[in-house]
Amino acid sequence: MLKQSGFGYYVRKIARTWKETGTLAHIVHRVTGILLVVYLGVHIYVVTQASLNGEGYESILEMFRDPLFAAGELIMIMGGLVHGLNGIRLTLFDMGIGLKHQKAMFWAFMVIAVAVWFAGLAIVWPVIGGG
Amino acid sequence: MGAPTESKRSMWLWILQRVSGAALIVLLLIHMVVLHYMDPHAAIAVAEVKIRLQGLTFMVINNLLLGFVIFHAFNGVRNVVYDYTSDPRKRAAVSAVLVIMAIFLFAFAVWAFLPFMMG
Amino acid sequence: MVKFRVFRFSPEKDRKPRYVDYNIEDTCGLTVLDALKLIKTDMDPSLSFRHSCRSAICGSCAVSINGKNMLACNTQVDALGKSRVVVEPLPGYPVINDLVVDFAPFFGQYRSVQPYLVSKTAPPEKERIQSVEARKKYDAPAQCIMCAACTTSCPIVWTDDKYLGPAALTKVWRFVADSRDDITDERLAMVNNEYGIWRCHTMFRCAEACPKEIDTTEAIENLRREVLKRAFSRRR
Repeated sequence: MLKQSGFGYYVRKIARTWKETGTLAHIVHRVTGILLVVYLGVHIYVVTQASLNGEGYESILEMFRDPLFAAGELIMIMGGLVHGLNGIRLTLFDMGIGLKHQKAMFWAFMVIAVAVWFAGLAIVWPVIGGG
Repeated sequence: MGAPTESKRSMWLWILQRVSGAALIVLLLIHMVVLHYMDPHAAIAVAEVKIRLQGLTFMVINNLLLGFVIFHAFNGVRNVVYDYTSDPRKRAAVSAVLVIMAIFLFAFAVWAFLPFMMG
Repeated sequence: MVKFRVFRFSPEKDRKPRYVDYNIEDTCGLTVLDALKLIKTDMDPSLSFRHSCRSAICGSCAVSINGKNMLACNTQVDALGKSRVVVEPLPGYPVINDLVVDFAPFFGQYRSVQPYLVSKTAPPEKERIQSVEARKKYDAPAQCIMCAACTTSCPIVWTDDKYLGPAALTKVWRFVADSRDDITDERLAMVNNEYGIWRCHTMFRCAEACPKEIDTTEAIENLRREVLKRAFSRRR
């Protein structure tokens, strides 16, 4: 018999069917979740330097003024928004709300994520963009 | 068929993943607004962090945020691993490692900020 | 003309699956099952696939059509609107031959959830009477034909072979929702574990795959709420 299971099979099969909205939402949730865990580790390391190593912390802050790092932070904010809003969507399903409109809900929440992201960007733009 | 203790654990982890997620939405909003949006021009200087953490409200909010975010993150990783392996032994081993890592990270962060919180 | 790209795998001959194209000139009125039978009789008698009733009742002919699990007998070729139709075996389970997969894992999970009514009252003379209202509660899940379109569409099933999967979980909900069934607590205990309801990530693939339009995702969510309701009401 030909095996059709395991992680490799999963990746290949998902790569072919990711366009299904429910699947897409799951993949987006999973990928942003993993990225946020990595970010959490880095973030905790950086902020604890403020207490453990004042000079080191100031030099890290200096590093974060680099546009590349600012862009990274902005991507993480988008990741957090997407993960949080899709999390609300999933929790609503668990409460029995909106199961029949899962696709529309995903896109509606993504629109909210983008809108909130731009609002946040507008606030910090004078600092990161205006130099 | 799960033993009753396993049932309770899997149920509670599922519930807490949702509860912590909901709490994180509120706490992270506060975190972002206070630290980055109220006065975007101000750099997050050491002295400021120190003063803020001495306030009781912020001390509580920050430690809650830390606890919830670590739980949510590590239980999330656990969920991912559980999806990709059905072997109970591998699952238990991964769980144990994640619990130790989560406790260590929480303790480390609290310990690191202790001088600030104490003033 | 429609090109049928069919998944072929023969364990005696092939080490890897291969795809063979068969062209059918006139597909008017043909279902995918009709097309497969046409291929078998006119072009390649070695093609293997399962089927029986041809009317979406027996649940034997579920296959993956253009990447989605469907009943071959219930799918009109022209309704797909494609000039190329890719027919593959159901995902997740081992392929025995061509489009035929091994259902042993499916029926294993199915049997493990006691898929029959259990009543603790003495059998009545005729039947166990149920109101129309009470029957309505499980109208949808009672339609299940066990074709495995839902369970094999679930990515968790592909990687976690102990996960009960949407079909077995929906079967549990069917009896939990049945007013005549007396072992609700036992049934909920069967699914309240790391291989049951908490493993579902509400991707809706199962509900979308179901040819009987059973909302299997909703059934799993119903089970979760039933477990939570009982867990919290007992505490008081």
